[in-house]
Amino acid sequence: MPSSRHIQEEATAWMVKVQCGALTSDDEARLQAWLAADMRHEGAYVRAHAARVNIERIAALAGGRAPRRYLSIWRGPVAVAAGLGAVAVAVTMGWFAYANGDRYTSAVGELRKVALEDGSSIFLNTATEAVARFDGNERRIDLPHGEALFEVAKDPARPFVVRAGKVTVKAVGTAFTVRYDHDRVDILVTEGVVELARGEEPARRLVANQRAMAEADRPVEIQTLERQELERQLAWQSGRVEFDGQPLHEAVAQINRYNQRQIVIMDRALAERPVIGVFGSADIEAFAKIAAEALDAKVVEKSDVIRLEPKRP
Amino acid sequence: MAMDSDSRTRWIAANIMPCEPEVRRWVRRSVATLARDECDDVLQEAYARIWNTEFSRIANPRGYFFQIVRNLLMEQARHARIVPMERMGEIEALRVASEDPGPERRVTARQELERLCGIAATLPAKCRRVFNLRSFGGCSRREIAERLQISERTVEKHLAKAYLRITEAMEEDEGTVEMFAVKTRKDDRDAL
Repeated sequence: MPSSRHIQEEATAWMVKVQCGALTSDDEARLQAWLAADMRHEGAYVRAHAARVNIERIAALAGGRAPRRYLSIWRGPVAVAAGLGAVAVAVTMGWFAYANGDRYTSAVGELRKVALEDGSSIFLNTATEAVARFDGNERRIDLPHGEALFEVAKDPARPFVVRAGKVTVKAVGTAFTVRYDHDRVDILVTEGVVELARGEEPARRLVANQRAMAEADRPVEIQTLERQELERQLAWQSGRVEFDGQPLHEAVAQINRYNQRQIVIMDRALAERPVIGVFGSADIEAFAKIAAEALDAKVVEKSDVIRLEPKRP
Repeated sequence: MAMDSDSRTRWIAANIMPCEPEVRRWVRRSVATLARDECDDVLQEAYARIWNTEFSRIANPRGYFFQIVRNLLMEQARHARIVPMERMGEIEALRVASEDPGPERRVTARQELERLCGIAATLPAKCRRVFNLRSFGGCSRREIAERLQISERTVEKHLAKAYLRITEAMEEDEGTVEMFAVKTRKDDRDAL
């Protein structure tokens, strides 16, 4: 008696054939005979289709299905990277054909995970843009602004190079984040080794758990982070921001990155008070309320901003 | 009123399939002597039975699913020549769980998506690429074949493998899947 696993395999193969529109009339007859042969065949076949329906429904949340014409007009060695998994508030497409590269963007408050053709992935933090240009020698990503985590599939023949302003970060197979904000680039390595270069300066190596801060007109600063600090820095991937005693103004600057509506602190002493906690990055109202309670301040809601004020001025 | 098979598939996908992990846990917990393979058999039959039922008569799909599985276990135990001694007793004692799964068991769309991505990440590289192009890129079989320089037949094979692996991962508890996903993804990267 065939195992249920074997039956499920056969059922899935039939389901795919039907779904791809690849059924010949011979196939059709064979399928009908197969379905009639055993009740479990029919059940497994129904189950395979139901699973497909659910997978398609979930995939559609990621901005799903690109219009077909894009895909068919794209040419070149590495044309499409499917937009995989926007962990997103917005369900916009976020990627489209770019001069001669693929451009990926995330809106304010949006996190977006993109699977690249080579098996690497980019996880875009809020308000980020990345452009991928892959060829036979190099996998190049330009980061005009924002922050992203790169998980790089090993390919010694084609280094993976991220460019943010004057800084380039080169990797073969590793994981790291790059944040580019005005004149400052932050690099955080979570796995493996990367090579960091700025302008004409000699390249230097960064290993896992190290952070480099490259600010314009200042030497590059490298520090090794404690596990806990590293996790805090990466909390955005799960839609959270974490604070561990940072002054309120830093915490507010962080959470403002993820929201259209901004918090404004109305008092200097209040701005210096420390904040501890974990917050959902998209829920700025909740952050304001909790911070106000903890710091004995009050929330004044205006249409465009949320003010944090001391209770008694 | 009969629905067309597309609507029927969607009905099963929305009302029956999400309960499958729960039904599996329930069977595993209650009928300790049942092998994994036997449980899969019963579920396949259950899908066939449900498929052949008039859906408008099913007021409570989740309860109906449990009930069908219980009936099938009973029938199977009666007809089998050799049944572990305690099996009948276990099945007799099987009560259809009536309580609602509760809010903490319900997953949000976003969690589902994260989960799907996590599982997809554990697929072998070629297979994952084919699945991504199909599910997220909306490519046809021919487009995928041309892009990846493989035959259309191979595209089908990769797709079938991807669907099967994802369905299997979704049968299980979420926690298990996530741990598995993280582990394999690392291995996958190392192997590249």
